[in-house]
Amino acid sequence: MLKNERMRTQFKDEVMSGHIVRMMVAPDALAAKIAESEGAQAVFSAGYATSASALAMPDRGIADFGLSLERCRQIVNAVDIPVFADADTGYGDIDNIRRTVENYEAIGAAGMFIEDQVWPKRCGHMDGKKVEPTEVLEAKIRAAKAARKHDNFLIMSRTDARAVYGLDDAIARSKRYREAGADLIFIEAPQSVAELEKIHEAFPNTPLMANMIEDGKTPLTKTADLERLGFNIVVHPNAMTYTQAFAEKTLIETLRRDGTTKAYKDRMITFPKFNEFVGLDKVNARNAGYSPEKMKKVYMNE
Amino acid sequence: MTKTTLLDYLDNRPETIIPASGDGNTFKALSAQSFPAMLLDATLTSRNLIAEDSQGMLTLSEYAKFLRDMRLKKTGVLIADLQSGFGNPLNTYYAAKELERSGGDILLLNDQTYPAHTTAKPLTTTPEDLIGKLRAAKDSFENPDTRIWIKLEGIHSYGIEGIIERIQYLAKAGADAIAIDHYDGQQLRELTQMKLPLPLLATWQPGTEQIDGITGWLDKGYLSTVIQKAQNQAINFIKQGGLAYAEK
Repeated sequence: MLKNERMRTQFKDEVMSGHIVRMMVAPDALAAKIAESEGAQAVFSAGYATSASALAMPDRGIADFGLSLERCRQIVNAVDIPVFADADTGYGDIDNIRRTVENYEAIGAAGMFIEDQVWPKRCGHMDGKKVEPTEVLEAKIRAAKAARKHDNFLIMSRTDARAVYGLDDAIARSKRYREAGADLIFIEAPQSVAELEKIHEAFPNTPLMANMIEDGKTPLTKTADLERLGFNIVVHPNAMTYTQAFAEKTLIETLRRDGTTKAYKDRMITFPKFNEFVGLDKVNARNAGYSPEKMKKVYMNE
Repeated sequence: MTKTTLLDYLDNRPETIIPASGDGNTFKALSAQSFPAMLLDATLTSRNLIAEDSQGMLTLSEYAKFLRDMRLKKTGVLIADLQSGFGNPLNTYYAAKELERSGGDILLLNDQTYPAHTTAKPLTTTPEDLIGKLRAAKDSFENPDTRIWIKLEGIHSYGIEGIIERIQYLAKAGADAIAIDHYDGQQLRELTQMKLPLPLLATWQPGTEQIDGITGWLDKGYLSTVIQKAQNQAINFIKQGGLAYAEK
């Protein structure tokens, strides 16, 4: 089975397994590889982290389709676990949805979500969000389903209506999105454990995602507790970005203070360990395998 | 038509020309026709994307992005231009992997030194380097059906004997077909008289003599040339019209 099919199958199986899938948002390919090596079951290529890492900008609809697609592709190629894609609002109307789906499917993403915010969007935990009428995302979901070439390329609906019209509206919208064909449901930014419970009660048989964002609207809840609450995917969207930013900031502070990085070295991976992690030995071995001396033996028929 | 049956198809229809494209409009127009395969040519792509006449100016990432876009516009066999591997065999390994993941069904590796250039008499690389690149590309393939063809561009320097020698060791190293470029009709006829271990294709442009024994023909960009001529005529028309208007 080729990688793209294998990743779609694996992700769908995991989501439907009855156990919660631990998914890390990775700002880039290196972060994704780290997440994979430390046991993440899936990686999410998401807008907040991509905006931060590629543009040093907030998640306010500045990062476009091309940029987000390319970042997701780099992540897909760097890991051997499923990668889910944040397709924001689909980057336009239903014509754009077709292109968005075709491309994310082609690069090997395991699925993607599309949301009902008004473009330019905001991070789901920022204030001042606006949502489109429900019909807009319903139509986009139908278009996404029609555009996908494989049934196991999963389409998730995301609603940001909780912050605008309350949880009941967000649930009602999500039911319509489910009827329109969404495989998975994501209600962004519920504000309590009771709301998380209510979401599961509304969708007892539909895979659900919970978003655990530090300093966000939703209480940070343990993965095991989310599983008990009936969620199928937990995603940690900003933890790697914040950790990376904090580490780099304190590193530069140390360097400025001391004139050297010595005092920070115990918080760094070492030169040999990093090279090992990114596979230098394997690359060198491959290079040596095609050396002129070895190829000459092939040429000389030895 | 699939990547695994294309050569058989061509073998039964030796007059077939595989058209080349390097821009979206031409690609779309060709995709709408029933060609058994299409070549996304690096020189034509370089002209389109970065306004450079030499393929070697176009980097792997630039070409691969365009390949992915065009892949979505075509369901049939797509031949991707691996140029000379974008470096040494190690680079070729990763380049071939990238082009396969970007939708190439057949990769066309040429035997130029890196960087490959668009010229009638390019520099060609050593047998060791070429074999290394071929093996590296094959090692990188995820799909066992992906094929690799080698375009030999140095008949001006290594002659017919050099071509034959290269075909022999490339066959042993796993090439699926050979394409000959920068030849004259006599040279091609000589080659077709010999018993060769791989299917033989040749590049094609208007005026190319059809020769028995050639499995298929790779277009060098006929449509693009025609479009360029038409564009130049249109430019002249605008210039003349503009001057006439100014004189009024």
